[in-house]
Amino acid sequence: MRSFVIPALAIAALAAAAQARAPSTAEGFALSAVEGQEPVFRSSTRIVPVVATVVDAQGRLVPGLDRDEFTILDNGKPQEVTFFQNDVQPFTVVVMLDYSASMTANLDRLQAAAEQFILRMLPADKGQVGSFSDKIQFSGTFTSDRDDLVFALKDLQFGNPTRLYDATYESIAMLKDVVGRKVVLVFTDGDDTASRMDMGDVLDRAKNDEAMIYAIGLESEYFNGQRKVRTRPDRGLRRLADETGGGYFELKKTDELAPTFTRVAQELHSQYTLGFSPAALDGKEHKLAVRMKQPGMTARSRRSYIASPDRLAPID
Amino acid sequence: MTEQQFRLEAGRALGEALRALVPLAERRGFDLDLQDGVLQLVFDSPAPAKFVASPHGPARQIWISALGRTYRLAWNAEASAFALEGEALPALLERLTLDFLDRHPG
Repeated sequence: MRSFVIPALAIAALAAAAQARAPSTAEGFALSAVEGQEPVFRSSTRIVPVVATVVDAQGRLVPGLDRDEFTILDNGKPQEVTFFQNDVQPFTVVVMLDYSASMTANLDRLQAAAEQFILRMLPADKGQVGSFSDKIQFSGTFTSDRDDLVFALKDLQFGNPTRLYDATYESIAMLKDVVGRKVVLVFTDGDDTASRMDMGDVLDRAKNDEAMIYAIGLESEYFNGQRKVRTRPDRGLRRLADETGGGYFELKKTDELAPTFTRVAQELHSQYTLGFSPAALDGKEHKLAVRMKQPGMTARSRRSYIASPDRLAPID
Repeated sequence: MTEQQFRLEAGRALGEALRALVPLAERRGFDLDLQDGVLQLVFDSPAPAKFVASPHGPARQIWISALGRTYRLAWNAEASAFALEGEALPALLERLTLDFLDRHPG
């Protein structure tokens, strides 16, 4: 199944680069052209797409860098970056919010913060919103209509237990047929209390479907009818974010909600898409890392990929 | 431009754009809303639509999302304004608004 779309222009650029160098790709590359016609690229070359977020030493996003600034490591070995995009690429997102009882007092702020994210979606971005508690709800279909999404935020329902992992898993499943960058943005203020799925199930699904998970966790305090209860966001969220190349933000105050949702929108519009052709398609899980040449800069990206021809985007 | 300078200039530019658009909004009947650093132009007629202008700190740009397109305005130090190909934020928003209203003459 093809899981990542490389735009036609970029494919042409990649083809030119591949033609110019020795055939070092996994399965070779061939180009044929008839005079006066568009060249036809025939290839079984596979490319591993790697979305990277670059921050400086202060944690500020760094957009607009060139290809030479990046090194991709596949199982620790540097790879030639054969595909590179540093312009804004559209994404498809599920914004999944914790509407469990502990959030009752903060719901208005959470909705306002999520609205800040939605307002910053660009015309080519698509999303839907959802909530989880004892039930998991989605707004319906993916849309670019921000008004529909904002309206849907107010139509989501409360409940009591927190089915965080089930909701994250189902959000990834909603993105199954989406082409391009797939993102789950999940917010919670507590631990998972009722899911059938666990963190490992969600991580496997996210890796398999190449979905990025952004997680915003809020420490909160609420009165459960008998006493004040303090909650902390589930610790598995950070791992999900780290492994999938998303981001994790842990907040102590509701004031930080809106800036954080804004930050995620800006981050998604400041990312780089890199690609390389793996030396071997051995069907195994490979470790991935992106390193920056400039001191003080760091890149976040997914930490692994499966080197299987079935899972990687062909260039043809 | 530092991030702090950018925030100040972006806030100022969006405020100026809001003020510049008020007469047109009153004349042609659409809403303006500047909240949390995001300027929205909300149209009920001739067709429901929304233009959104928001600062993008990492890129040091103001982004406008309107009519299915994105416009990115960078800081022009000489003009002391955010502009796209010489067209400053208020002028660009006004042009896009008039394009939209005139294309849907109701």
